[in-house]
Amino acid sequence: MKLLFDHGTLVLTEAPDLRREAIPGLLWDPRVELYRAPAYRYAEVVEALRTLRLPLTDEVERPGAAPADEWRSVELRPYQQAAVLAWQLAEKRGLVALPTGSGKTRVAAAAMASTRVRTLCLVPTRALLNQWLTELSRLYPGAIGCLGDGRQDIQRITVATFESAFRWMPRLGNRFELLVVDEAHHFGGGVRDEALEMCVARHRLGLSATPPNGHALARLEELLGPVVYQLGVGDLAGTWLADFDLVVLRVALDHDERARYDADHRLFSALNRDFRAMHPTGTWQELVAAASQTVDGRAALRAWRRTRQLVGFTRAKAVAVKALLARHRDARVLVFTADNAAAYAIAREHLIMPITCEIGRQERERALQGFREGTLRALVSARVLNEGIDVPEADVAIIVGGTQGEREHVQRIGRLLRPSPGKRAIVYELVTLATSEGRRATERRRGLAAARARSA
Amino acid sequence: MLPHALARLSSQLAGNQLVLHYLTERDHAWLRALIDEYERGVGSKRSELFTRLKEPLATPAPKAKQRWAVEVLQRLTEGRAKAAIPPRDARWATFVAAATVAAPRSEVLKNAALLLGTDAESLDVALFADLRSESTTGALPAELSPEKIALDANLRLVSSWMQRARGVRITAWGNTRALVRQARLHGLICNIRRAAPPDTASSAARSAVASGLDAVTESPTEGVELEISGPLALFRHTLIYGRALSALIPRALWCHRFELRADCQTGSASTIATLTVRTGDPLRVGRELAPYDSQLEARFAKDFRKAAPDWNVVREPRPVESLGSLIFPDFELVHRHDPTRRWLLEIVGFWTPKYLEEKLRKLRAARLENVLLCIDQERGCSDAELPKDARVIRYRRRIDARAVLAVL
Repeated sequence: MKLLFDHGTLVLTEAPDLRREAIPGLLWDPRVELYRAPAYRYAEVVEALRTLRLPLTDEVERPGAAPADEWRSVELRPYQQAAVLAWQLAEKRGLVALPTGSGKTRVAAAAMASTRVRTLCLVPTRALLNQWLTELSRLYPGAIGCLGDGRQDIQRITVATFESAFRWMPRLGNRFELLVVDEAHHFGGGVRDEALEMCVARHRLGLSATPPNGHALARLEELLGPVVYQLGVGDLAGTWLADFDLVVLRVALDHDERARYDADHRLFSALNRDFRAMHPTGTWQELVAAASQTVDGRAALRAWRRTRQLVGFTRAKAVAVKALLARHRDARVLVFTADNAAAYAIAREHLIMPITCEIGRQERERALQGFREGTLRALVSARVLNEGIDVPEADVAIIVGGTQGEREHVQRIGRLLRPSPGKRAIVYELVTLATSEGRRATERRRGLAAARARSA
Repeated sequence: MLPHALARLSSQLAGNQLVLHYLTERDHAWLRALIDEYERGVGSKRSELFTRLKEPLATPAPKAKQRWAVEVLQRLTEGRAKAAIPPRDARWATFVAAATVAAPRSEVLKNAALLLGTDAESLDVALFADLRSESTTGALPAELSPEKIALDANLRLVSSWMQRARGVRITAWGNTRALVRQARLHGLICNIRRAAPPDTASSAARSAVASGLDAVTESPTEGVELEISGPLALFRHTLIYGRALSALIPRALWCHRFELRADCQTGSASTIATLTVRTGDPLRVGRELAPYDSQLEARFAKDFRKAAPDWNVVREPRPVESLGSLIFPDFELVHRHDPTRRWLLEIVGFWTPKYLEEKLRKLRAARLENVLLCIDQERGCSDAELPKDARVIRYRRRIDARAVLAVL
């Protein structure tokens, strides 16, 4: 009986009848007349087969040497050491939840250095891909492979974007023994989970500042392991993270904006009211699905999108951004917007560099370097700067608008928390009065407030 | 590809069937109006023009179809705008200048323009000229017509749904090899059976003309039935194979005749409907596929024709039925003067002795004796001995045509 890797799954050849045996994940595949199991259950399948004392030739893992080069010494802060230890004690499977700016990449490097096996690191964006390559190359002298952003180089230590991993895992899923997943909260919801399912790595480390809850967390635990270590912003602010002040500036719509907002809001409210009457516990996705079936429903959804766009960057917000950029002329400022259109409008008006998905890798790297060195004083972005990008010099953030709720808010503020001597960051949040944004702003601050209160 | 929301708007569920509302000749009038409106907007900001194109046109258009056509037009005209100064240089010079001196916007632009040897106005225009949402509208490609937009849009609509396919069943006649190869190339599980002949010769001829294949003179004869799905599909509803399944469409369009049925996820994971695409649907047929799958095959065919003028090289021989499946040999070598002298030639890349044994077993079961395997010396994954009765020629980068001839 042989166990083989087949395009992101495991197949068992020359097997006896196993239909009555409880082997995790193993199913009979009538298409090829073989037993098949998902790759991520590799360790469990092998253990179950060995328990049955069946002769087994395991040809799943592609032979390959462990990383030959020695890792340089990875210096860790006490909480980082504790995180690595907790992960090791959990049989090198699990999720480490640490706030943004607390050095999660370093925790991953320490885990990799202690494990010394072939490792694939997954990161969500091209920007983070380059940041991880730079960070790991400081600690590991050997060649580091890269999958994504137009590069396809596979080494014993390789960094890949989620998208590339999704595409390549059917071919690469048996080459790595440790899987490190940065910003792991992107998984667990069903989208792109296959990237984790199609890999046989027994050891897995997930990193996140904002782990999910409910069903998504349960799924993440199945794919990566349980939460083995968790700290919030409040646990580290003022010591290992810079402290910060949050200033909420409430601005109003002008006469014309108010008229447009109210008209569109009425359209959507009617739809929402009718839907809630029929489905009191219906989700947003269900509302959109139901509304998409009718002309009126689609018009109401378009109206809702217009209101979001309008409150995302109002005339009053534009004035506020101008005043804040002038006030903090000598600071390093990050401006966060709800969409690219608002980011470009601010970039055009105030001549500051936009960092969006449309800006290429080299230009983005040059801009981030310029920001670190002080050649550029401000950056404006809708999404790209939300996660992971290392800009320790930033000390002022202006949150003009957002669409992703509490998690996005925590991540954005995290950009400012990388510590430096005497640093105290300021976060300005612009909220439009008497609009749905007010409620959303309250919700997205809730998670942050809870974390801060916990440590107080 | 289209955003899924747009694909949904242009489609309808009829029971468990997914019906696509293709753009047809009836839509050409308003597509012409759309093109005219675009041409009036050349030079304006692209994002503004495309917002305007979604508004009612001079010739009334169905709203969903118009949005879909606008999306396609956007894709077909991307990257055509040009700026006087490279936008990246413009941005760097301007934003660095703005960070250096606290001055009004016009002053900063003027200073940066001086550095770049241009004027402030050109610099301002160049700042975001290369960014999709901020760039200005360039001229339309000369060959773009309502017909082309319609065919392209239809193909994108089908591809969008195929991205959400879990499994596909295809029945195809003639030119089927590329289709089978494509499925296997992506690691999909592909069960193949021989298909019954097409209904009538006339219907085949009619469908060939309708899909723009009338230049293909070969009559549609050999048919296959393919059932294609991905390994992981056994465990869960997954869309991971959507891209690979979608890539089958251009191949299917080059078959003489085909009918494709795809199980597509229309909403949540449990809602599945069947999409049917067949010869005659108004879809853009892409470039003709290369006659050979690789340089290696092309080079061998050329070398062998030169070395053995008495032998014909048949590129796509009849598939061979064996042990319930079909084998697609790479070449058939047939003697010009004695057609009973025929050899099948199969080129093997990655191999193991076990794989070769299995291959030979199938060929033997099909009662084929004259089979020659060319195996890659460098890509073999085992040093164990080859099957004893195999007629094998080893090659490195190039198959020696003389060595093949010596065996025949």
